[in-house]
Amino acid sequence: MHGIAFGDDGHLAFVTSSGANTVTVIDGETLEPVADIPVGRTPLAVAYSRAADLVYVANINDEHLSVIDPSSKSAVGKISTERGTVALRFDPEGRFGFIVNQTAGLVSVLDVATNSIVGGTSVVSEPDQVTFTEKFAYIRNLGSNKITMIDRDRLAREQVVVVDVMIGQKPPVDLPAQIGVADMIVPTPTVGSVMIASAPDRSFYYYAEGMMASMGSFQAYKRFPRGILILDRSLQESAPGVYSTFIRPLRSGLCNVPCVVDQPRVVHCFELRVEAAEGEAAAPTGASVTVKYLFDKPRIRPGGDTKLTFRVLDSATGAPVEGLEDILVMIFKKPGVWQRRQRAKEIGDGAYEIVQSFPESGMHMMLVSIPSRGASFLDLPTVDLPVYTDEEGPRW
Amino acid sequence: MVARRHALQRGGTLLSLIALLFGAGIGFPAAAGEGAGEDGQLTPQEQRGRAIYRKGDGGSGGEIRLILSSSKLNMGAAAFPCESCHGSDGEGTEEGGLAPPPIRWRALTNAGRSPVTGRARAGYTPEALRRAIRKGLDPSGSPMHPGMPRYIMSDAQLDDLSAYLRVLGRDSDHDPGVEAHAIRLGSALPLSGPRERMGHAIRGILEAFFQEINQGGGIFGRRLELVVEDSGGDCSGVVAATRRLIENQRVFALIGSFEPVGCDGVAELAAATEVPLIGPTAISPNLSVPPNPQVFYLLASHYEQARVLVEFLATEAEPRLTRLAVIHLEESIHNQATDGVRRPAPLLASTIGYEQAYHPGGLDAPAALEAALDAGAEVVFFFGPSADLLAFARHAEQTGAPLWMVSTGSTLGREAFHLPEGISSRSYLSYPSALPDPRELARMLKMAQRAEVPLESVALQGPAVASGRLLVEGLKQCGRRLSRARLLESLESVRGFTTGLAPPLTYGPNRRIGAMGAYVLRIDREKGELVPVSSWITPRQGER
Repeated sequence: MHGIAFGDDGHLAFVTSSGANTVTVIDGETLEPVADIPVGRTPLAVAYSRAADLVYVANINDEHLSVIDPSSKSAVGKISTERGTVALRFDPEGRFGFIVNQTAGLVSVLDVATNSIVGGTSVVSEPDQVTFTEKFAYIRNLGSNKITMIDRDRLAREQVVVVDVMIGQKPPVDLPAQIGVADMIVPTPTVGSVMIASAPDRSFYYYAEGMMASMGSFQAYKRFPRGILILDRSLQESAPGVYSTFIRPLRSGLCNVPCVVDQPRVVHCFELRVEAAEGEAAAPTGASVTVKYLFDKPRIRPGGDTKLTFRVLDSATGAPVEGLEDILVMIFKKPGVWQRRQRAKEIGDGAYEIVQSFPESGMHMMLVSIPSRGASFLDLPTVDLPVYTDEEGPRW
Repeated sequence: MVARRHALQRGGTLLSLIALLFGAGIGFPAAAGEGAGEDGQLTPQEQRGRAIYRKGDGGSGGEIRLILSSSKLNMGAAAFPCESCHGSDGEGTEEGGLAPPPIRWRALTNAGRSPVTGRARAGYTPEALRRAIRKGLDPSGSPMHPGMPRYIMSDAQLDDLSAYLRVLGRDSDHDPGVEAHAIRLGSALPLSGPRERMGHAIRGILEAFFQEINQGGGIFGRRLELVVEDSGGDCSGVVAATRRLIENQRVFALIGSFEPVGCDGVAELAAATEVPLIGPTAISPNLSVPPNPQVFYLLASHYEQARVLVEFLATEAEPRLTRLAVIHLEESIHNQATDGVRRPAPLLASTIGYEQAYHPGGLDAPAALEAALDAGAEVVFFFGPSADLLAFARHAEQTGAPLWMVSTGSTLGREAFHLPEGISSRSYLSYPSALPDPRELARMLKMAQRAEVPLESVALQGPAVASGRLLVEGLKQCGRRLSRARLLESLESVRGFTTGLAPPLTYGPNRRIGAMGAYVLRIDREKGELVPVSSWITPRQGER
């Protein structure tokens, strides 16, 4: 088995070979191996510390970490540990290394400034992974549904301060077949929170630092999560006043892009036309018909039935369209609590009618949709219908 | 290893011969990555490039200007040197919504993608780099983020900058005093003359401290080496010794140097050469506004101590004392102290009824006392040599005036116990430090014993060790890639750092006094002790 770490600004790859007990150094440009460094027994986890500019290797079956200098490509030291180190990672600055020992049930913290262990915690149950947010190092415990957090700020004062939080129901060991190597606790783009995946629970949990439990959970839809990768698609200001992000449209066609700004409160819908990819059938590009209402300011009183007629015309030729059987008419009283829908009846010559009664006075609206011609309610002209008694008179 | 280095050097010489023969600037030195200079130092061209990178300083090539495209503002490049956005190591920074990318050579010459816009770009060629710096276009021809200025510089200056970019962040790009396995630190101490005991005591304890650090493997694999130059104890001596440390010994930073009262020269030299000076041994820091960015003092100056005293008298003392008089010797630290009385007085409704400055030998105690009493003063702040203070106190005692006396503890020192009885029971002194934590004191004792260094003066040697701890903390936060600029940055981010031998230290971008406050003490003649009557007081509204 192999672990990989990159040093020297990504120019060199350090690859452990657990069977051969070596670390192979590979040149990132030529992809050729340039050195083979013997280390301890069963090296697997390997990590580069930016602060120290050194590569550290965890030897599972040995009682030390091996320290490699990328510039000389040789082993330059050892750090005593207990046997059983399965994971080794540095915080983003590279100053503190977290040595995760699954068999001993121990996580130790290494300060690379002095290459000494500053402390550790055994408040863990078969730990196997460590990941970081700005404030904490998160340790995943296989034997428990708790995550263990180490306060990063205190480490500079040589204090290992530990908090554990229960997340979800079942520990990972309940489903050993689903235990993998990908990160199961991952920081979100918002500061101070993580997403945690649980295979036995078939769920993801959202945890915000400072709380004693997760804030919510997401379904994995009956699947067993094996890892999490978060794609940050937040809008970024790429030029003064210009905000951008990436999306990947799945289909061609005309889309609405609703955009909400919190402060000041602005809601706006953009239109986005996605061109068809080569070979993809073109999606319908809007309605092929239009509607002409055959009444003008009808006098409608609440109570009795009112007949309303309209003609459907082809958008291109202007000719009346006969034989449509799926015309749906919606009438609602603004703001929309009362509404009725019905199919229109063909009366000949491209004209169609409905009969509607209006129980109450008020301003109403009539909309027509013809799905077979690609016309939704908003694609065709609408008309306002004021309804009032003689006493009330028109109020609009 | 050695053979390889020689080959590089030879290659370097060959190239410059070619340059001479063909008479034209080569444009880009062919050796990539390693600086082709002697002993892993920067070549003159790289040094010129570094001055451009760090300070926008065009040197003899003339002023470099820039245009900020968003505002079409044309200004000198010193306002926006490359370093300020791209980092002292070219590692990039992230601040205020901007994310100027890393620009070390490998990052530049490889193809990349902007993390902000996602736009891909090809790797930079020499031509593309010129175009980027001058026109703000990336190698694929797209405009770069408007935050990147367009620089107006000559071809020669561009070549110098490019030469430096090749070595930026690599081993040859380092400050003096930093080597693969050692960091050289200097201290200007009196090893001869009337203060030699103090000098030797401080040297001894610093050496003991460094020895302990080195036994643990040093910091990021580098041991700390102390170089001491004899200052003789006077101002000109200390300045000369400091100069020798910087120019001849080429130390990385200075620590614990002894700074005589009123001697500005050391701080000025440190500022001019941009060499950090950590924890100078001083009775009172030399202050300036804004503070000298290179010098990190541990303890409060007389200015802050005076402020603490005024606040204490007005808010906590029994009885409250708000009618003040100030008598001071016309000399730096005493003037400083007087400023410290003037500043908070109006805020606390304390009034200064009488103020007198006297010259050495010119103190007329009776006249001053009478004038102060006439002005209705309840308490006299006396800032001057202990002999003058005692003379004034004796006179006050004789007249039986119910006056309180207040001063800074360091000027009076042991003489406090020679104050006449009455005045002594109506005196307050400021003390800008804390009693050492007993465990830390024991630790320091053990360290001194192991190194066979006598523990002569906890008051001096304690702060020296505290400075050492502060330095080590700063070095640890820098990481292996060490530079003076990064050391300043990491010291500036120190907050509430406890050494056990000084009060908790906090620094900031505009703050260079670590423990900004003091205790107020009264004199217990019977027990021969100075007793705290207040908790740690920080002057209101914090720093100057």
